[in-house]
Amino acid sequence: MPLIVCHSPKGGVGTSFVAAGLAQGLSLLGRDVVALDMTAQDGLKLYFGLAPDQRLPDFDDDVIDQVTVGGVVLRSGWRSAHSVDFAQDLRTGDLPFDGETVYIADVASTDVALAQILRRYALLHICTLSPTAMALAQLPRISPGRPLDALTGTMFVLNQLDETRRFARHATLFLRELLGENLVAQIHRDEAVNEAVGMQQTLSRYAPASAALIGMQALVTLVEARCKAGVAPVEQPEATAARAGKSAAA
Amino acid sequence: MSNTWRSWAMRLASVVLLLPLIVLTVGVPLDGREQWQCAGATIVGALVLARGKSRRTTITLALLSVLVSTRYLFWRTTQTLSFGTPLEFLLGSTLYLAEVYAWVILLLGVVQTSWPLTRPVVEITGAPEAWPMVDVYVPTYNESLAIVRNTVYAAMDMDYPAGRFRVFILDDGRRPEFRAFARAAGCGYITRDNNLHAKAGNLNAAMKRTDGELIAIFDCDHVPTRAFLQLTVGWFQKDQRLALLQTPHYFYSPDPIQRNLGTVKDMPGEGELFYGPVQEGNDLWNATFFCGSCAIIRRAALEETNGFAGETVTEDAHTALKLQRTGWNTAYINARLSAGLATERLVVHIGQRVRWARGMTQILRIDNPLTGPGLKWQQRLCYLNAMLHFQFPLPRIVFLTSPLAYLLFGQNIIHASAGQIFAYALPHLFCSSAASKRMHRGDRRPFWGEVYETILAFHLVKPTVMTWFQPRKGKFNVTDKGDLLDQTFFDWAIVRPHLICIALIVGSVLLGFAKLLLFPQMFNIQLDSLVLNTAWATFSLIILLAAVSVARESRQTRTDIRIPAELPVMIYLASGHVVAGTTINISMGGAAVTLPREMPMRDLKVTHITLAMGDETLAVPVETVRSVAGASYLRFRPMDMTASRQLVRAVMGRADAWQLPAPHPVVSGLRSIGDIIRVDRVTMKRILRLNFAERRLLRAQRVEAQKRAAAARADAESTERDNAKPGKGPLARAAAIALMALGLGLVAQPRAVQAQAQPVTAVAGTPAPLIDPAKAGNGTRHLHLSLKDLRIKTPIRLAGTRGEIGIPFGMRQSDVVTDATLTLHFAWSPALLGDLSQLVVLVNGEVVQTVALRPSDSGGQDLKIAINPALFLPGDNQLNFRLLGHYARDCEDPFHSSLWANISNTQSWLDLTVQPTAQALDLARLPGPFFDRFDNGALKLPFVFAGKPDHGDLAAAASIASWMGSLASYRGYGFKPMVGQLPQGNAVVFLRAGASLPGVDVPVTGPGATLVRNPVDASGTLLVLTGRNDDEIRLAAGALASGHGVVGGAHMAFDGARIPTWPRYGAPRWITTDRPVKLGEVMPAYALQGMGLPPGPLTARFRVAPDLFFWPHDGGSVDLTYRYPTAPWLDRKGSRLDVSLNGTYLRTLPLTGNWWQWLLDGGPFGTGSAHDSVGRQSVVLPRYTLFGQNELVFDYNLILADKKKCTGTLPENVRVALDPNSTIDLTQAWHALQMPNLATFAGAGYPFTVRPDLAETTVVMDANPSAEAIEAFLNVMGRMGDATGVATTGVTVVSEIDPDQLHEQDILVIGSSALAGTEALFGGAPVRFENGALRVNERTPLQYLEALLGGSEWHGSSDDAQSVVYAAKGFSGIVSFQSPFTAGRTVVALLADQPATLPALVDGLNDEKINAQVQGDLSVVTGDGMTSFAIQPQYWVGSLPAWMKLGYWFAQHPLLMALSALIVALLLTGPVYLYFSRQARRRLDSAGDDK
Repeated sequence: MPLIVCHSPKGGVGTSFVAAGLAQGLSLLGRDVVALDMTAQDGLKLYFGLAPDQRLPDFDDDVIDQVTVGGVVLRSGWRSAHSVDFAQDLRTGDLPFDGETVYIADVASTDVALAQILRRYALLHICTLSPTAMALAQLPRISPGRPLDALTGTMFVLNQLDETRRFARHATLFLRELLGENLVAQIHRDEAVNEAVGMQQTLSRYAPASAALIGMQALVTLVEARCKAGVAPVEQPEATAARAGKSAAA
Repeated sequence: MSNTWRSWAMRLASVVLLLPLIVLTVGVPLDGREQWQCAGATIVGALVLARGKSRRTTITLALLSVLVSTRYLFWRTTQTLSFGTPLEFLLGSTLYLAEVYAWVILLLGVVQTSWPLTRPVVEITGAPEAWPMVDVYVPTYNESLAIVRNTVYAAMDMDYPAGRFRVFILDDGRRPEFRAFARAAGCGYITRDNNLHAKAGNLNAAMKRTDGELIAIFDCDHVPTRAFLQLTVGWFQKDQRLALLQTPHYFYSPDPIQRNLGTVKDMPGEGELFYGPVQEGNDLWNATFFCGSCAIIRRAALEETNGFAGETVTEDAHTALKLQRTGWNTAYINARLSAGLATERLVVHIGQRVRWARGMTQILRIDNPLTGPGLKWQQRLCYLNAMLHFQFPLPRIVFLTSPLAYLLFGQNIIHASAGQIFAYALPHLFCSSAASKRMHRGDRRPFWGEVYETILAFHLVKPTVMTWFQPRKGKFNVTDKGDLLDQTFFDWAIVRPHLICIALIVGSVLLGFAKLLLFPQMFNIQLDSLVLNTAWATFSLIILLAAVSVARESRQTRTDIRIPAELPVMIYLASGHVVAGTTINISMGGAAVTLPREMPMRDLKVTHITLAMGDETLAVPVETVRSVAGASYLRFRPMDMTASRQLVRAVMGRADAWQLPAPHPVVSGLRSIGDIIRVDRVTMKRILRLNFAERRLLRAQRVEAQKRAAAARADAESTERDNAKPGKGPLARAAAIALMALGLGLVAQPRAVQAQAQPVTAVAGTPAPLIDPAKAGNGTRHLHLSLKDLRIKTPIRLAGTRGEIGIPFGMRQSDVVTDATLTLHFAWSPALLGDLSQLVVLVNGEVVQTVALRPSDSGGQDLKIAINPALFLPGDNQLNFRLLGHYARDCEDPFHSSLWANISNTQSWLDLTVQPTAQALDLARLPGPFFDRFDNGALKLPFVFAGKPDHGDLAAAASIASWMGSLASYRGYGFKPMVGQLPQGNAVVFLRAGASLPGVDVPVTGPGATLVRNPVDASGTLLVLTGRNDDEIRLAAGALASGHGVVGGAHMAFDGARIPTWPRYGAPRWITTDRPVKLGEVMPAYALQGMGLPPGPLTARFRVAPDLFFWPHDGGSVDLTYRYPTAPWLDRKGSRLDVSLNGTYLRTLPLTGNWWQWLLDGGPFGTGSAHDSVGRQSVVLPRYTLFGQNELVFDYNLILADKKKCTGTLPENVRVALDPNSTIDLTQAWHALQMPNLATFAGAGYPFTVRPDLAETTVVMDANPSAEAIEAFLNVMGRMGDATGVATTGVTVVSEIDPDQLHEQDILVIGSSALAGTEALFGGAPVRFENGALRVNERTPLQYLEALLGGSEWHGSSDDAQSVVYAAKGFSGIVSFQSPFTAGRTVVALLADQPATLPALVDGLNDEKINAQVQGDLSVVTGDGMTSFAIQPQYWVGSLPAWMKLGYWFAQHPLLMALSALIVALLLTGPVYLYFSRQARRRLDSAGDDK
């Protein structure tokens, strides 16, 4: 039951875009993928080329007509995640995170509590950043008290990168220094992302040459490798997990 | 210890084995066909070898090429350096020297490039803070800051600990902007107050100001990659004696050849051969030399040699040489760690090479690497090769223009036939090109070396030659780089010499064909030579045209050279889109990038591209020049210093920026020459203005350029127009040159017409004049001498208005003519005018009768003319017939075909009645009266023995017979033995003590000779030889025959007379081979003169030892000087001198004088004055036409000019002459022959006559020889005497076979077939006596094998011979075989079943035709001739050294020759491979120190 949590302490850095891209990428690799939109915005579906008025079935509903785009099943998780017994269900394993299916949860930046609960059960936490001063300022909040490059369950993605800007270049350098191996992908800012949503198309369809897809591809490859390694979730003691993470990376 | 001993023994053994093979393969010359076989086999072998791809095969091929080329050069040296004229000598020796140069370069190249050392990179050891301190020098003089800036940036960005290296600009130009830049960039700036010693001085001055342990030097346009120091410094730590580490100069801009010959794709640069195999090969021998840039030098080493060498203009190579002389090592890493700009234009490129050539020549002269201390021989050779390489200009020009010698001047500068030259040169060229293809890998395509050299050759002649003589002159010139060419134009000036050369060659080829097709009568042009020279000229043209093509400078407008590189980039579009792409190419000013195909290209504008540079990212603002599907062309916007520096690093600093993805593919010779021809074709089109599409493009470019120029500057326009019309003017000039060449060629030497051979057959024959046997009472005799008896072999044909023949004949001294009648049978042309035409008969100059030639009698007439006997003189007489013929009364052609008269030679005769006069008996008059040289008939002299002749008598008789034979010679002779009775007339009598003859009363008191009157014939004289025993009678005969001790009187005693002995080959009739023999020695001077029109043939007869062995030479030679008059009446073109030998036509010599002489006379318009002309020519006497007896005929054929026009009279008394000082040169011959060979016995009595007195000959006869056997014996001895001119005073006669006595003797057997029954002697003979008849022996298997290896040629099988022997009723024939008693000695047996047929057998040898049929080792009389067989294996006789025999044997087996070359190459490969690989290991293992 690999669960991948996409959550960033800073909003507006493109967490949903990364979650959608990751879901599509893994699906292309042949995985069963369920994308869970756990935000109130309900914006994840837009990156799949769906119209804003398209309603997604709830996470814990039993539905016959799944909303599927390119092999990815889309569910809304906002309601169930905010139900009282969600944490309880998670703990008892009642939630049906099946063995082979990859669940990708897009969590709003403000929903820190949910993110923390989910991360406990997640295979991976994808934290999206942008090369902006504001985003950098949020970094200490991700994992207080622990160096970011030592985290084993978290992967950082630098999104909306514009290397023609000096600050962006320097921020990239800084992040690379700070996060080390954990900075797994850099996704270029590309107007095509915006246009694709506007055109109600997936990015890979609308602009297959988009530079944003290249960084995304790198991310997908790494996550796929991590899924294959099938490392147990974060509940184990930190030291063991760290070692397991390293061996997975190896 | 024992191991080394064994290895030495092995080496010695292999040398002993291989050396002879090598000598044979190199030295044994082959004839045309054999050499072709050898060449073909060698080439096939090389092709097979070339299929192997290993290093070993490369070495084998290299060794093979050395062998084959050495063989070629050996052949050139020994066989082809014979020149007829001074011009031939000049041109021919120049070509030869050029070939020697090429050979030396080939050898040096094999040493140098057989094993390129691949030196790996070693890591720098130790902590980074302790790495060696490096000073990086960037010397500059006048280059622009824009160029220097990049280099400095890149140098400063090298990956090396920051504190451990410093970059310095060494500015000899002392420019403030450089100082400012250095300050801004943060690098050092060093300058000095003078410019002494140019670059070397600049570097030396800087050395004093810095203190780094190592000094890295980059020319200001050589941009290093970041990895440069990291990859190179390690070796300096590993090898403490390493002074210099050089890396290749890589040029990222195309060199002028690459650029201007855009037709050829993916061409490796010109320098890649040098920076590939050559420097790697140098590294193997620790002889890498400094190339001025991209290298690191150890300061300590430099301080030992007082810094950089400043004496020469190539300070780099000289510095390296000095370092190596002091024992420092050098090394080479073939990794492109820096990149620079190639010279931009051809003219600059040539300027640079001029400097290199001058510098290298300077070093060669000032500090020759062959001499001086401190170098190993391999280092010396490597340096020598580098310096000799630059001596290529003269040889290259010689190679290009050599065909002119034949085509233009008609000079044969290689003394060999075209076929032979092809056959020798082909394997040499093929193997050396195959080997160099292997050694040069893909770094130099086949034939491009020739193109490169040709481009430079003409310009480098002056600097190399001048420097050779004045090595210390000339100054350093800086190579300009980075020029711009805004126009494509043709640099005619730079290729003017090439164009002249092309015009000359084209002109001369045309001229050659014109000579052959249009004026064959004027020029002596051979088709094969013409084809050879045309092929050669065509090759020259192909190369020259390619060189000329480079002069078309193609437009070069970009400031920055674009480097093809595929770097990943992010492309930022103005639309906000970002896509990934790769660069197609990139430069410091812009880039071309790929775009995703699906991008809409309309209005596509790129604002930035970003390049990943390791950690950092470089974003470059750009503007879009244009975009096409999938690609966009961008120009960089101006950047600040940091960004530029980063850009330099991104573009040029990448560690792998310049690495070749894969080695250049090896291109086949055919493809390569195809490329060159394609280049030529394009250039031809351009020259002929057929390049329409290209010109349209050019025009468009021009218009564009003009527009730009007009906008930019007003004055640009004028220069535009200058370049706007390339081609026309120079083309006209080229055409003019071609025309001039054509004109020059036309006036070139008119050679003699090659006439058909006029075979002149006149070999000494066997005339059989008749002597009327009827005798008048008082000794009066009648002589009937037909003209044929007077040696006129064919009917006489008199022609022309004045035809004349003189017939010499002799009269005995003792005779007086009492009556004489001439009977003539003759006929003449009915067209003759009866009243004007006459035949005049003269005897000794007196007119005997004048016969009017009336048409009515012309059918033929018999005329008896009585001659006044008083006209005949004792001794020489001459009978002349003179025809005075006229067919017209006024103007007539003196050689009109109707002017003829024929006189029969058989039906015309002289009838003479002669009366002998009484002569006193006086031994002083010997050989008279027995032989008189004025006798016209054969000598018949009976030999009378008082009793049964024993061996002494026979030996004595042999002396007299051979003496008489040598005197009578061609007249013929016969010696009939008689026992106990006296004949009529003269006779020789052998009288022993105790024997007596009735009527001969001579006391026998010791060796003596007495003349007495013949008691049975008063007019006869007897020569009585007396002796008490064998020795005395032999002494008497020998003394008499050799003319020693004869004083006079009727009686002589010879007690104590000494008979001279003769050395081997001492026969006076054989011309010596110790020195050239003058014609005047062989012939009387008058015989070398000719008179009349035509003068008729002049004949030189000479005999040589029949065993002359000329191989490997073609034969002997006649160095002839001949004179003839030259006057306007002589038709120079038609007149000729034909030389023939023994009826085989050899050569026609011109009677034209030389063309310059002709010009001096006024050429075609001058009248010309009469003068004498002298021709000098050397004529080869081919070995296969030289026999024992030879007749060399010189037939002057003077043709009258304008004979049809009745202008003037016929020239009188025209005389021609051969200089008696002309020589026959046989000095190159050995005495050697493969025996048995009966032909030499039949011709010259060989091998017995080797000692002319037959001192090493034993004659074996029956104990009781029959009279016929004795007659045959005497006649054979006569032949011996005739052959040598010496009496056979040394001959021994035996009848018992005694091996001791027959040891070291040549054995002559004469007698009945039964003699062949003696097993001891005839054991190894081809025949044996069995059951009363001869049987032919079968060959044994061993003999088969011997024959196979010995290369004997067999005529017919033994079965055939057997049937012939049976068929002959009663065998009569000659057998020859090797003596069973001594190897190398010969037995010749004249055998007959009926001894009565023996004299006929010997007489048969006098017949020229029968004589020619005698050969091999068995010759049988059949019918009217003889049939010959060769049955036994052959053996060598003579003094040929064993190695010559081996060589000769090899020469018969050309395929074996080729095989041995391959074997030698293969066998040598092992040791050579080991040697090379050991050296390579030593160089790389032990820190490069190979001491």
